[in-house]
Amino acid sequence: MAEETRLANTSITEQDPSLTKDVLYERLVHILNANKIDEVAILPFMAEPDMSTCMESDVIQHPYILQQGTKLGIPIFCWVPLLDASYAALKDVKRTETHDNNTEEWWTDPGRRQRVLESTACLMILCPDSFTAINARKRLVQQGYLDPQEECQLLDMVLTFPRNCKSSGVWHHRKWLICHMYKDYETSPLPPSFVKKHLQACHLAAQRYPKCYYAWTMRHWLVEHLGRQWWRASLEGVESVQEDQLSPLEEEYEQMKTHMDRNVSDHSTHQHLQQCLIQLSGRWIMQQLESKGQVSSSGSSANSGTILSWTRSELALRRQRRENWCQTLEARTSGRGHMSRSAILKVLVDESAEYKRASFEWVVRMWVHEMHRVKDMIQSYPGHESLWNHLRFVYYGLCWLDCETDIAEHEVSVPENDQSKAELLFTSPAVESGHVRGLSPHQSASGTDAGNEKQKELQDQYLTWVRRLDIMGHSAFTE
Amino acid sequence: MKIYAIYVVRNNVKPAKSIVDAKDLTSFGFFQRSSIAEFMTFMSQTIAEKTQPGQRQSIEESNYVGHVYARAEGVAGVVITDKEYPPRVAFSLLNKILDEFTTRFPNSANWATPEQCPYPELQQYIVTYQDPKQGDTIMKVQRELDETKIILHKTIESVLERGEKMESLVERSDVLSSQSKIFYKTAKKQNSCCVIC
Repeated sequence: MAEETRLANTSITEQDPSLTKDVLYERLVHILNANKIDEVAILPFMAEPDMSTCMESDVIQHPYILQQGTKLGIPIFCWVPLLDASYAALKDVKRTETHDNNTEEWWTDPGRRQRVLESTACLMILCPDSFTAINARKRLVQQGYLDPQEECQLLDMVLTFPRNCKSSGVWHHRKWLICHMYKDYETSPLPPSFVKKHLQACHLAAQRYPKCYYAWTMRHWLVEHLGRQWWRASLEGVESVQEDQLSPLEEEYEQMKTHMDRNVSDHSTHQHLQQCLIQLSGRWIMQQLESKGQVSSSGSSANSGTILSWTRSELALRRQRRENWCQTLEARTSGRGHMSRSAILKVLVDESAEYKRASFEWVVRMWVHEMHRVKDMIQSYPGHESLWNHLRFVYYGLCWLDCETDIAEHEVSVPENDQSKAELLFTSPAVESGHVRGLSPHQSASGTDAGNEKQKELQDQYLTWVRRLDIMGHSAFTE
Repeated sequence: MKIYAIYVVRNNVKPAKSIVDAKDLTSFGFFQRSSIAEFMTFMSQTIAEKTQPGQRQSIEESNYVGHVYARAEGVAGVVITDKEYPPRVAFSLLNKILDEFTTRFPNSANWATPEQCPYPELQQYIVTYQDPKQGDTIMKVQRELDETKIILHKTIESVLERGEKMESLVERSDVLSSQSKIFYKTAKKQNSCCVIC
């Protein structure tokens, strides 16, 4: 940081006396007006203007570097004078307001509007957290002088500079724009292509600046929106909306899986993947709640908070219910067959069967697939805590699904010769410790000693967690 | 988990000289790409020169890791990845590349220019091996890798000779343009990777 501060404070007029802050500001505004910039970067050096081949346009651009007509490089020395000049320009517009004793608001005058647009665009690039600038732009959007779609493009450009990704102002502004454009976003779905575009923006931000909290929060919000609109539409039986919302959600899920492959130790990625899993299971969960009368059929009273509020005490209750249910059924069939204690194993009995999207079977398969996938990754990339944490999440979800009793068509008894399996759940400490034992240290991709030690530690922690979860379930069961 | 660049470097001459390379710098900003490319070439040549024939080393430098394997024939392979990429896959890839390269171009007199050693597969490897699981077959076969210890260096300074400083090497280098040198210095001060952020 020290070097950068020093560079930023180096006076640019020392290097070239003609470059006063007003000249710098004018040139930047000129470039922004004349070109459609889609990428900005701050350069730690000044490019020497090559006088021999220099065209007039280059002189006007100096000291900025414009390449391919869309990529703009700003030398770091310009930063302070530019900030100064942009703020001055913005203040100037406001000052005219009071001086002329003019009761008209500034945005009614086209000339002042233009000056506000220019100065705030510069400020957005240099310092996207300047709220005066953002508020002025919001005002213009509200008054209809600025197209919100274009404003989103400006935000995309601002984000190409990695440091701007962690500016809360930019992300809040984006969300504000979405809510402004689609005022009824709470009740009616956003256009899928629009959501996809914004998901993509979040994805790019995550690549440029990996642990970007705001980008991931935004992404969660979008995915949750998709999920909510999807189950709402499907419960109301609106077929077209249902498809529109589900496919971007599935695409996002697939994209996250690939992203996870490449960013194994990124907790944010895993969290988002979990969010996708939750939302994809959302319809089934809502159906259940609805059938129990906990939610009205319109779904309006249900907020997203109800989705996957799978608490541990509830999990214990569910286990108990499943156990009781099995016993009742066995009593009814008078000992002719044992009921499987696991709802998941029943679903998995028939591998080839086709299931309706979003049915219980579909949800189960998705989670089981995720379980296999994460175990596979743990094998390939040992010693990553994030993977083990993700495994905990998936295991917990599967425990929940395993205790399902409400699916009537699953009253299939276990075949006679397979009765030992009847007592088994799909998810149990025994299965998990079996898996952990199967992790041979030699088959890993990076078989370093440090990695193996860490892996050992993590697998012990995981097993302890699994056992505690099981004990909790049983203690509640006996009470 | 990313491979940024693969190099085949001739290191039986001093200074070591890159023969062929493949890079994937799409994740960097437009203005950084050329500097980062130069910096990677510089890093590869530097570490290849410091690697004895038969030796395998992994050298960390800011956010990158350079995996280098030198062969007795006088060539070394360098794979530059991020810190997450499994070293074993990187070294298997190096084995494969150097085997192919030395069988195809056994005569060291021809190693002067990339035109004399057309090796287009390198570009393909950098795409395929972005996902380490693609090298899965390799991951299983490479048992012999366990036998040769891979030396891990936490900084590039530890492979340099006594009295040599990274800064002075950068300063003297003719691979790096003056802009890249400034980029390097700014980035070094902030301990980030050629990016002001």
